[in-house]
Amino acid sequence: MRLQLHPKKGNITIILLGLISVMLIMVVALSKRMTGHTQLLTLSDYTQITRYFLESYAGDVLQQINMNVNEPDSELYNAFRGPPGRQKLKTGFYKPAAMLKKLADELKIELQLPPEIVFSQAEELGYPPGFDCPNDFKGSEKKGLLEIVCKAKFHGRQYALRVQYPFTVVMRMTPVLKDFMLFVDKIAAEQGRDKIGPNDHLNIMFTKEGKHPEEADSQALSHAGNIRVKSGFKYRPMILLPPLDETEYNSPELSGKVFLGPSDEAVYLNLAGDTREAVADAPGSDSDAEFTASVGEMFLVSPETLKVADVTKDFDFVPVFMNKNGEFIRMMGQDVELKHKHIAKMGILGFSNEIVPEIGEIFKDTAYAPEDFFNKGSGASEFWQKLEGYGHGYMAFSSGLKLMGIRPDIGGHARRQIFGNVLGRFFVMTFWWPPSGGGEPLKYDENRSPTDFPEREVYGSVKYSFQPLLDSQKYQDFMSRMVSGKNWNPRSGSADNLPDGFMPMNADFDKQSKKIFMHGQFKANDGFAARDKLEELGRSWFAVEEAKDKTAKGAESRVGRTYMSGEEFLEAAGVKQGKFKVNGIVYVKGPLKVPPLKIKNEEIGGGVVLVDGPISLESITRGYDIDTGQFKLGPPGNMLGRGPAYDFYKKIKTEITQESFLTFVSLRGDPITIKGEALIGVQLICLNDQNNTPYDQIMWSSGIRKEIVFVGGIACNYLNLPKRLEEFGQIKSSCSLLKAPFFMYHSAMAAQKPALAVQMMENMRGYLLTAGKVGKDDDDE
Amino acid sequence: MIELLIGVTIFGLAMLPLMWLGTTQTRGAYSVGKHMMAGQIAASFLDSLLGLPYKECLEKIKKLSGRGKMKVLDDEDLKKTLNSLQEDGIKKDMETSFRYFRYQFGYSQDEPARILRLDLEVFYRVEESDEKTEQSVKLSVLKFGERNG
Repeated sequence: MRLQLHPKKGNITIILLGLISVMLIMVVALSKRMTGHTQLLTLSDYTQITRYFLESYAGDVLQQINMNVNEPDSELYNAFRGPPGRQKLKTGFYKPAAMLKKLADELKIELQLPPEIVFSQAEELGYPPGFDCPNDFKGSEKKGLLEIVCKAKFHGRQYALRVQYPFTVVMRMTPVLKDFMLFVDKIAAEQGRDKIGPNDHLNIMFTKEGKHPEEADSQALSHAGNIRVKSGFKYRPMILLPPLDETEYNSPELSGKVFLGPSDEAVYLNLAGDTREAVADAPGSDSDAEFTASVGEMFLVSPETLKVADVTKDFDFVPVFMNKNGEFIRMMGQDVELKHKHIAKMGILGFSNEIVPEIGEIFKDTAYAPEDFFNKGSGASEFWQKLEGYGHGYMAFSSGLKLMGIRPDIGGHARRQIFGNVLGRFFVMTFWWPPSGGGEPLKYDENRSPTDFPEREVYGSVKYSFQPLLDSQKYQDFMSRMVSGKNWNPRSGSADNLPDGFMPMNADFDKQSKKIFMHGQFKANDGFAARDKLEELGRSWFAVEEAKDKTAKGAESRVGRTYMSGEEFLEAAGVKQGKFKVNGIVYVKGPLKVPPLKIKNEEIGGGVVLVDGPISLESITRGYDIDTGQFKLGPPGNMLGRGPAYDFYKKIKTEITQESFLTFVSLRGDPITIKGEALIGVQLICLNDQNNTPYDQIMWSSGIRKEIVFVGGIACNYLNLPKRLEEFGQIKSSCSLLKAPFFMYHSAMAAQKPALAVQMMENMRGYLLTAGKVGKDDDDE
Repeated sequence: MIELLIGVTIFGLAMLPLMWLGTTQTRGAYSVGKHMMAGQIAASFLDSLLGLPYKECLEKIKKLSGRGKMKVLDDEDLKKTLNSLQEDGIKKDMETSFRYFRYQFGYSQDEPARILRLDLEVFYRVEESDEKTEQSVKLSVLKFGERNG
């Protein structure tokens, strides 16, 4: 049967059916869209939650890397210090933090362990001009990226976060500078232009009877007009002790170098001396401790300095001339043989109260005055003329800075290298004794003909003449003089061609001679060499590049972390937790006040703290039970190899390494104030001269009551020595043999293999968050 | 005629759920927008805290969490951002949109390990006039203090 609709019937039904169909389609579409919204929302929420979770996870991994990477026993330690390359790291060190696990539990996120850690790139760090890095060390300091991949499952999806963290591997100490026990690159400015007299602030240590009395005699002061030393004030010298360990004593590499600059100026240090040290210190003498510990520095002068002396023999204690009572005036020196068995007696004298003609004993009751030896007026040497002008009292003041320490019992001196044009100033007195008829001084005379030797007629019949053994010997080789007695301008001549009459403080042990050492002779134990002036090296290492997109190649490019305050740094270093972890090179917006650090070496992570502002340091004793009030050298006869100071050094020699050595740098030349009596294993650097004139850069607080013990190095532009010696003078000496603070170098600073620290930076790079279905290999981004 | 009447009635009745669906859809879309905004606000607040040094972050979170539930518009950083906007229209729109948004911080700390947990919940109303329709987005993250070893 065929259904036949009325032409007008059923049309509406069809329309209605059509409409309902459209409506159904719309309902389905709308509902689908709603589901889509909900899914989108859910996915967005999950992604955000997981993103923060994975970032927390990556942060936890990074923190644990930081905690382990500088621990010598950890797996990570060697991995970072090995050759660069894309390699996977072992992750055994990683244990998720409790807080991370709790967060995962709360969020119902499944933490996937272990994370993947890979070195993604590394390149070697460069050096500023002048730093010559040894080939075998190149590439050890590097920067690179460490890739961390963290994964987690959440609501059936797998999420992965890949981030890269920059890292650097840097030396824990400052190359070149760390080999110096003392580095003062502008100390010449502390001597004024005259290099002697009132503006000479280096030669200010009163010397009398082989000692440095804390207070200068008023008589000496009265003959030294306007000297920087204040009447009634106490002063103690800055004595750089020679290494107490025998191996280090004999090693130029390990004994702690000294640089006094700048390279184009000369520094004159008056050697302390007196007439008695030889007789007192002679083997078998029954001298007492006081003489043995003489501060006299004539041991720094060797016979070859006199040019005509017998270099095969040591100096002896020789009678040189007589006083009116017929007694000989004796001093260190040699009888120099002339032709016909004649003798020229050459004595050497250091600066001391005894030689001041007005008050001393050398010229007392003699027929001679200093001018009989050193001449006068324009005939005298430049410094002698000045000294006569300022007053003979200046002859009683020797250098307040002793670069080689005190006279060692074993003779000779430490093989410490002194860089810079550092010259020792002392006196040579020559007296010619013909066989009869008395003798006569050989007066200083630069202009005299070199062959014009004195002659003497005795009783009108016998004529003696002064005839040197060798024809090549000149009058000037024998004459009395002030050694290093005139201003030598290093700009006008090379240090290799130092004119006669000067004595460099540095000894070239290879050539058995005194020789000025400049940067060309510098070679560190780790192989670093200097290809530029030492003062330039100090400057360029800490230079900060002005251009925004550039970084200086020294410390600036090695900074691992920046702290906006001293407190922030101390917190990160872990002071509250009984740690002090620098572990690299960090920048601190100062001021920085370091509290007393009694923390043991194992809890100290060595490194360089660059401080933009003043620094104050309390004692750093590293857990050693040290009472500096009891600090002493050994007994007379074996001062350096025995005693509490030696015992202490023996202990710390191996226990303190570069891994725990601390360097504090005042970046802008702000003062570093030391408020504690003991600083052990510390280098202090202040090389950004603010005033272009001497000022306090590294100073000791007036609150220090016990003996100062400093083991490490100091690098600065100026010492401002008078102030330092005054500071030292406020403390009573703990040792009867060393009336001065204990300044010692630590040989770990000159280790053959520099210690490296790894620094992880927190600024993420290469951030990539991916999500995919669980079990699906290809992730959808 | 009766057919037409029945047809219109059926159509009308059929339209009712459709209209309800449409309204729900619009409200849902609006709600999704708000949810997303709340998520963005939460993320930006957390990111700004994560960008601070650890100590500052700790001090700030202590202060913020002590304040309890706060209006998003009272947040100092957001205020600064809104004040810096040149276009008044955008500023007004933002102020209108975030009118009923609130946030609450929480934190916990593992002091020796220098780990700080930041919790943030941002609240919004699905229906602005109805407080009972308040929903929230909650995010948590760990911040690690610098430890040099």
